[in-house]
Amino acid sequence: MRGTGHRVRALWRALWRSRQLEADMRDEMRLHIELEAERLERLHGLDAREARRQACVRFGGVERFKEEGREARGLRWLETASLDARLGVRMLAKHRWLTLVGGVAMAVAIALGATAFEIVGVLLRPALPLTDGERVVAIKYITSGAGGADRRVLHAFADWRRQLTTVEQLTAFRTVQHNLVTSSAAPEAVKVAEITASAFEVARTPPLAGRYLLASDEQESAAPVVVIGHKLWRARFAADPGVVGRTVVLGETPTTIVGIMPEGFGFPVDHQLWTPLRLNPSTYPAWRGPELHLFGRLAAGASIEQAEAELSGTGRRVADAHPERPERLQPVVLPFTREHLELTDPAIVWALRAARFLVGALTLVVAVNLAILLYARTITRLGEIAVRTALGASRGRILSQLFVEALALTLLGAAVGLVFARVALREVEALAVANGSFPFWIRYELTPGTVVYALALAVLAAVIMGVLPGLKATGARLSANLQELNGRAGTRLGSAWTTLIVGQVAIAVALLPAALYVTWHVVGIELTSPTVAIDQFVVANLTLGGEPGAGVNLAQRQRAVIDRLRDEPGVAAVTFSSAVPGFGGDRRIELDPAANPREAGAVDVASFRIAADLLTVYGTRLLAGRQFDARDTATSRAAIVNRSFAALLARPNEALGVRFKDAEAGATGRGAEWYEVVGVVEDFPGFPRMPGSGGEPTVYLPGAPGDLSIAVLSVRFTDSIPADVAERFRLIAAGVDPSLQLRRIVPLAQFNQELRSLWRATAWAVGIMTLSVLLLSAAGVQALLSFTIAQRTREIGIRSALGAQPRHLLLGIFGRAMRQLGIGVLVGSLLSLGVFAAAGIGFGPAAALLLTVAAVMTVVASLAALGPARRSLRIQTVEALRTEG
Amino acid sequence: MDISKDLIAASSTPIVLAILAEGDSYGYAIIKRVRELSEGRIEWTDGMLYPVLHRLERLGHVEARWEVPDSGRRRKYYRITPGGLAQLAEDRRQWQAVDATLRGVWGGSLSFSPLLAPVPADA
Repeated sequence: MRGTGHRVRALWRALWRSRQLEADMRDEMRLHIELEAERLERLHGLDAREARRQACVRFGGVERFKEEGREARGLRWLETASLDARLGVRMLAKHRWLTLVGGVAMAVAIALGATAFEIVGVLLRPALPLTDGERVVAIKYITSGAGGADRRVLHAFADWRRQLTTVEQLTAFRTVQHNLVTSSAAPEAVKVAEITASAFEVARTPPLAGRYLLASDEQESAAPVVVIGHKLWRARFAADPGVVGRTVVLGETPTTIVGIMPEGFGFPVDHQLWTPLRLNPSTYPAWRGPELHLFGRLAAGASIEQAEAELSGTGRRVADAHPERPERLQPVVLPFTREHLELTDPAIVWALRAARFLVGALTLVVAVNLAILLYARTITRLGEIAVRTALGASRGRILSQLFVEALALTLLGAAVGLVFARVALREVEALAVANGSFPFWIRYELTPGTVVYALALAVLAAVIMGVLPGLKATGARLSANLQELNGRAGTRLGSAWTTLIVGQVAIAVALLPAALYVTWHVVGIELTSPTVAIDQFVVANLTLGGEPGAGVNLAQRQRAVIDRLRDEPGVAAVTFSSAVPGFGGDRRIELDPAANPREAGAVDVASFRIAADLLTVYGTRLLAGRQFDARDTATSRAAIVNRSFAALLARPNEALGVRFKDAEAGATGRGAEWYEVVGVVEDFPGFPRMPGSGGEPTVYLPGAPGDLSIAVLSVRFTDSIPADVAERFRLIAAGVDPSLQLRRIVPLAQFNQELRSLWRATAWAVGIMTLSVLLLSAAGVQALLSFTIAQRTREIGIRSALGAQPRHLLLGIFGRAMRQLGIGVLVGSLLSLGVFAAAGIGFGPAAALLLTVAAVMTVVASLAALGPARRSLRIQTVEALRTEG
Repeated sequence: MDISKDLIAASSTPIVLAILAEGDSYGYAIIKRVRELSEGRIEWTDGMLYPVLHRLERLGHVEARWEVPDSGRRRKYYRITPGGLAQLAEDRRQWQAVDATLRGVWGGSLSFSPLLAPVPADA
């Protein structure tokens, strides 16, 4: 054991102190020679020079013994690897284009692989970051019919809480929204977990200060209490330690803060406020009441299967006792994390695993592509390899050198790819956080496991890129290679490699139109200027809180908030709609055939319900007809459409009076009635929500306060927007009615900017991937043509000597290769047309894109062919005749 | 008398370990001690000692340190470790087995250097 430890230490020293060891060895041997020379001078009276010469002779070859010394220290392999690595880095610098192509392709592939590995890994991780977090399980009923969950399980929860032995500390919770009103800041809409006190026993996380919820807090008569999270404590209470015991208002209820939970605690999902769940089952009939999530801890020694078996007995009894439910209810137990990420179906879990594997495998596909290019480079070095073999280098030694050279390239790609992955993970997390719920146990960051995974991919790719071409190049024909040092005339690319190159071109052609399509529209988004003065607008969601009776007198209360906002200084107008202008819900409508539409059948349009003055407040130009007025209510059938909608008609100028109805409504009922167009307005606000949605046909239907449970307010300022607009608005809303909440208060300009940023990032991602595919294709084309020249050097030389015209010569040489590439382009075009047809894009735009792609590919192929073509025209007859035919 | 290279190579490890078992030493002194003990019969190329020492160091049989003696020049001293002593004992057993075998064949006329004297029972 001691010996092993010593060897490991010696190896470690050798690895990190190799320079020092070399210097020691040199000093040691020098001393020996000096001492011997002194002895010879002293005993034999030699002069210093002769004495040193004889001492050196006695010593033997210093370099040889140094070499043996290195080998004795076990450093020989290190030196070899170091030499190979240096050579590999030199090859990167020498073959810059290959480095660029391979580096970009590998970086993109590894970035995708690492990102998918991290995201899917985090999603599938079954354990919560709590003590014994893997034993926290969720319970739910699924119905055999629709397969969905039934969460109205208050009665079952009450029974299970008493009976279950395999799941302990059974807990129920629901999420509600309240306004949080404190003395120190403006009211803010917050998410609150109404939860049974047992949740904190499940979490096993002590509070940072005060206490957590107790069972006694669940009593109807108990004083209202709340536990707050660390993030909220810092943001709203400036991390004041004296906050415990203070009273805040949650919705309409004065509530005492009794505890603060530590940093990072957001149990059960992403909560920062916890109040006791006070529900009495006796006040609800069976299968009625609020929707609840249930979870608990597996009892000691119990498994998920045992818990499920126990539950199915009690669960079926509960279900059978209620024959009013026709579906069969089945209780299931599953890891908590899976339930909250909707990963309850094993098929979805396996699909995610498969997706992760496939994305990782993309690196290997890229590696195979790069192997073709490295094979081309290896073939040009066959002479060098043959000489080394003749001088005694083993096949393994040559393969290891090729492997290390490839590894230098893949590691470079992996390093860049990991940087890309880190950026992508941050963006994904930022996007997920900005868009709402983000479970506390999920963090998208580069973990050591992901880095190791990326490095493993790089090593595997290097094996494919270095060893496979190396095996082929150093195979049975190696002995013949010494005869081919000049011409490489006998080298052949092989049908498999040729097919791969042609396939690669086909893939590039198939992908490019879609990439161009997305990029074109993203550029369109970037260049589109809003048609309204977005700098003057603020948008906000006016929603209902979770208080009982929050929906009562909604119209009156919404109107009160709007009126109050309108009275604010600097506010020019307040209006509302069902969605942010430009982001309407999709609706499928059917135009009245009498309207003479351009195309028969149903069409997709964006649909809004708007206040009568919305279009006026936004300054939208009226093109025909009228704006909404007092006549138009939610029950009336008047509609205003935009210019793009009118363009659906054969005669756009005659849109007024045109009728349409919901395409998916039945023959009778509200949706079956016809709407009639009373006005036509300009397309607005002029920023499309996604590529291709610019000029989207849109219908506006009239609405009034109370018609919408969630109304998007648009507030227009006369001048610039005040910096504290969010706080002021929240204060106003809570002041009018504590159960009404203003959420996501953002300037419209910021909204637009966020949208653009998202699509800009998408365009970058698409652009980099497309570039890597293009570069790979170009490199493949170049490899194919280079091989063609290598094969036909002798013929080219002779034809050139016989006076062949360069044009005919080039056509003759590259004709076959170009025909092969033509097949690739054709196959790719057909694939692309199929993709466009499936996406519902017409033949016209698809053909235009394909023509563009054909032009791009022609330029790329021509550039790639330029070098080989010039080489072929420079071949001298004598040189050609020297090569073996 | 020239001793074959194979025999020199095979005996180098036990000879170096045996010399270091007498006390710490450095490369040049070890070579001198070999000449002295073998009375000039074992003639090493000086340089060959160092790969042997480095291998023994890697195996943990010897440890090295740099020292500056009074004479002023920095020297690398080697010291045998307990692992090296155990290895030396094992080498002795093996060489004695060879010695005994050859004695049996050649009638007891062999004589090894004092370096390879019989191993005490407790070694």
